[in-house]
Formats: sequence, C-alpha cells, structure tokens
Amino acid sequence: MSDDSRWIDETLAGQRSSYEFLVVKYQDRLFNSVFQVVGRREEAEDVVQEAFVQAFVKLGTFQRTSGFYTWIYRIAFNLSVSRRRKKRPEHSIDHLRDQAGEEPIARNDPIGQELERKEDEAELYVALDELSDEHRKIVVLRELEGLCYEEIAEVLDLPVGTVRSRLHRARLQLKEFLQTNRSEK
Amino acid sequence: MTGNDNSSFELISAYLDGELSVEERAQVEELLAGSEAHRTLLEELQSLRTEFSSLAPVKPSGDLTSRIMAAVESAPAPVPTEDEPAGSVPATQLSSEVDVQWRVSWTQVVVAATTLLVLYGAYWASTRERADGPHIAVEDPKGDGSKDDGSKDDGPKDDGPKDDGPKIAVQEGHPKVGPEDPVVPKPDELPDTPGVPDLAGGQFVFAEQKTDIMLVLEYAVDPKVLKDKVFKKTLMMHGIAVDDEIVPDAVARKSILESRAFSPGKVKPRGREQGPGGSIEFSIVIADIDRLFQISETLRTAKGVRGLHIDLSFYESDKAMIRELGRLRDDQFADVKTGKAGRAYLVSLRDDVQSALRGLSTAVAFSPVISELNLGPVKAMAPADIADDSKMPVVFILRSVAPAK
Repeated sequence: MSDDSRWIDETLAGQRSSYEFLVVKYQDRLFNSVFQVVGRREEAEDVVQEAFVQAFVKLGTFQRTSGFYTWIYRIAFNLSVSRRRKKRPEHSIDHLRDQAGEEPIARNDPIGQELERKEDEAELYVALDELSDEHRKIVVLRELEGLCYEEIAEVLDLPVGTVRSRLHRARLQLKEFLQTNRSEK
Repeated sequence: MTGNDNSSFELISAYLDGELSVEERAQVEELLAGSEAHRTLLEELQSLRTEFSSLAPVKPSGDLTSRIMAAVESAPAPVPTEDEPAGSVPATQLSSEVDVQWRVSWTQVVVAATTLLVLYGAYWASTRERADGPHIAVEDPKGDGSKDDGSKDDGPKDDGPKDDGPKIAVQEGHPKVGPEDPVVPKPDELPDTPGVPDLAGGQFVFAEQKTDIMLVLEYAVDPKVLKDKVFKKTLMMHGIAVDDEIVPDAVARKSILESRAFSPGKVKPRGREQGPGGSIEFSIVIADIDRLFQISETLRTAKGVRGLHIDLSFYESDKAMIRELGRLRDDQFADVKTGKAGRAYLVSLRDDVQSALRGLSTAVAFSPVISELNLGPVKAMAPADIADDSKMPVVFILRSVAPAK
C-alpha cells in the first residue's frame, strides 16, 4: 500500500492528522502550478487551501482510480480557472516580482547575466499570462508539471487530441509573444 | 501559416514531447531532414522548454500547511465508502453515513448553490433501435425499491413519498412525477438546517463544492457498460471524462464496485428492450454549459445509456452565481427570479435552449416544485404527459443554501 493510500485510509478512519502528510507532500507542487494560473501568491494559496479542504470533505468519494495528486489537481484547477475568470491578474512590478521570487543573490553569474535571466523569466511569465485560460492550463501542466498528454487529458477532461493541438497553439503563441517582445528591446 | 504547416508544426510540438506514434515520428523526422523551417521551429520549441525548465519554483508562504490544516479541522468529516479497507466505516452504516453527510452539507457549506435540471431520458431512440448493445434495464424490477442483495437503493423510485425527501419517479426507464410525490419546499422554505429534505431526495452530494459552474450529468447505464473502457473512451473522444470520484449515490457507487446488486438473471426481462442487468447512475462533470450541446450525439449512440440527469451546480456566493450565469449564457436565461431572503433563484430557459436540451433526451421530468414556484409557462406534468415528448419542458431550479454559522 502506498503512503498516500495509507494516509487516506487513516484520514477516513477519523485521524485527521494523517491528512497533513498529504498536505505537506503536495502543497508546494500544487501551489506552484496554481500560481501560474491565478497569477497571485495570495490567491494561489487560497485556492490550494480550498482544494485541500474540498478534497478532505470528499475523500470518501475518491475511488483511487487515479492518483491523489491528479484528483486534487483537478479540484484546484477548477477553482483556479473560476477565480481567474473573475479577476485577471495584473502585470504589475509587484506581480512580476511575485512571480519571479525575491531577488536572488547572484553567486556564479555576473550581475548582468543574472539580471538578464530574471528579465527573461519575468517575460516568460507575462507571456504565459497572455495565453487564454485553456492554453495556459495545458502549458502549465505540460511544462511545469511534466504531465504527459494522457494525464493532462485526465486532469482537464479533454480528449488527448485536443491537448495536443492546444499545446501546439499555445507554444506558438508563447514563441511569437516572446520573439516580438525581445526584438523590440 | 498554411493548414499543412499547422498540421506539421503540431506534429513537431508533439514530437518534442515524445507523444507521437512510430509512424508519426518517422514522418516528423523526414520533415526535419528536409526543411530548415521545421528544424528552426523545433529548436525554438526546445528553447522555450529550456526556459520553462529553468524557472525557479514558486514557494508558498511558510504557514500554508497550518492554515490548510486549521481549515480541515473545521470541515465536516469525510464519509468513508464501503470500498475503503478495514478500519473504515462498516458497510451496514453506509447508508446512514451518507445520509448524515448529505445533511451536514446543508449546513456546512460556506455558500452553496445547486441548480437542478432534471432530465431523465428514458430510452434513447437510437438505443431502442440497437439490437447489439446493452439494453435498457429495469431500475426497480420488484417495484418495492429493493435490490438483489436486499438493500434499499437511494436512487429514483416510484414508490411514493419517503422521509428523506421527494424522489424523481422512474420506472421502466421513464421518469414520472406524479401526485404521489411529496411536497417540495418553496424557496423561502428551503432548508438551512440539518435533516431537511432536499429537492433531489438527498442523492446529490455536490452542494459542498465551491467550484466553478459544474454540470453534472448522471447517466443510468448498465454497470458492465460503465466499467467498459471503450465506453469511457467514447465519451473521452467527445471531450467528456467520467469522474469516478464523484458518483453521487453511494449505493450506486457501491454497486458499481461490486456489481452485485445488478446480477444478471435476477431481473425480469420485459420485452426486447430489457437487458440482463439493472441500472447504475454515474456522473460526469463538465465545466461548460456549451458542452451539454456537444454531447448529445455521444449520448444518442452510446451503448447502454438509459437515462440522463443533469445537475448544474453553482458555487461561490449567490451574486457570483448569478453573474456567472449571465456570463455564460446571457441571452439564454430568459428569466431569473430571486426568492425570499435571497436564498433561492429560479431560472427558466428560453424556448430554443429548452429545445436544444430536450434534444438530449426523449423524456424529461422535473420536480413538482416547479409548479409551486409559479414559473409562468412551465408546469408540473402529470405522469401520463411524461410519455409525450412534445410536452416536455426543461427547467433549471437554482437554489443556494445559507452558510453555516
């Protein structure tokens, strides 16, 4: 029996503390992906929290035909998209800083290279943000989560063929956006 | 970019992901060998991937775990199902536990809104004509609500009022709503206390989900069909995924897992349309109302489908719910009425939308609550009228539940 299954069993048996193992195991990964969709740290944390609570309440209905993470991922993604529809992220300096994290101390790279890397990173986030919800979700699941097409299809309830075509279109849009932006510098 | 380019670029994108068949891979490699443009595209996509892989992961704040666990501590306990291993709730407690969960959901929802569009398609025309597929089955062959294992089914029945709320009557695949159905509370009487019956007889456990608009399609199919991967694949090909985790009816779920309540041979066949088994409900969650229209053909041709129940559930706050409705189909919701205390919303659909939805089913039934709520042209129907497709209305009943204090 996997750790996940054991923790789920224990939680269902009334031991709520076992659920914390699942939270600790998956919250960072979930947060990272949700963050790319909703675009704000605080909102991403809210979504992750809500997803874990929903998953907890409905844990008895989880039939384990997929992994726990895939299941909670689907819950979180639905929540993310819902929130995003209501309030699109802003491309503020704070937002970009939020995306890129605190300014790191460049250890090996010359300062100029590090700054350039940070700038590229921020641009990539902005490009990601320019995508439609449908395209962004697929890019996040593929590029940041590393899910295969079938897994993405499962999470998003889409046919695999749709995943493939949307991912292709999303990549082209990202590429064009980045090329345009970078050529203007 | 030409259509050919688009197609070949898509292949290259999938090639990058290692998601091509052997033949497609050979095709792409041939393309790459002969085309500078395609090689350039591959390099650009690889470069893009490298950029993503070099992104530093974003970490949540340090207290997220404790916040989540604090919220979990105040959440209602999950209800184990019988498929859970030893140590969880005994099977004999299942029904009562589920009942408890349902009741709890009434009060512990932060703000929940449930739209019920009750469409019970009895027999699909195409299903009728199929001689090879699993046939329409009998929901309750004994007419007493019992199952082969002696247990009681929480699903639709035709045996009159029950303590746990009104039922959508179903017999021989035809939904019937008759005078024997119990009175359903008016909007201002909608429950916000535990134990008050639900419109759907407590079958649906979606109210606690606070997600985006969710369309829950519940099909009654032969259990063997439900387990059939080809069936699932068929749905997948049409953009529908069977969500095994949210089968709303615990008894049905149990039956799906065990298949024992629907043993072949124990159900009286009734003519050519009867199959060997009973029926099972399962649910499909889709995220867009437009998808309703896309699945029509799938349902018509899917083997073993004998009924359809659509539950449109809305979450977030009541206002957000209405906004979301407007955003989705501004022009299709002809009438939105608000009940007393802002707790109930009734939405009727424009005729053309009703027609489109009706196309999903050959028979539609709805709760008698509709007539009590005076929705204008929409009326509760006599059981005899149910057989007449032309008289079938489609109505959304939206209802929200007050949050727990």
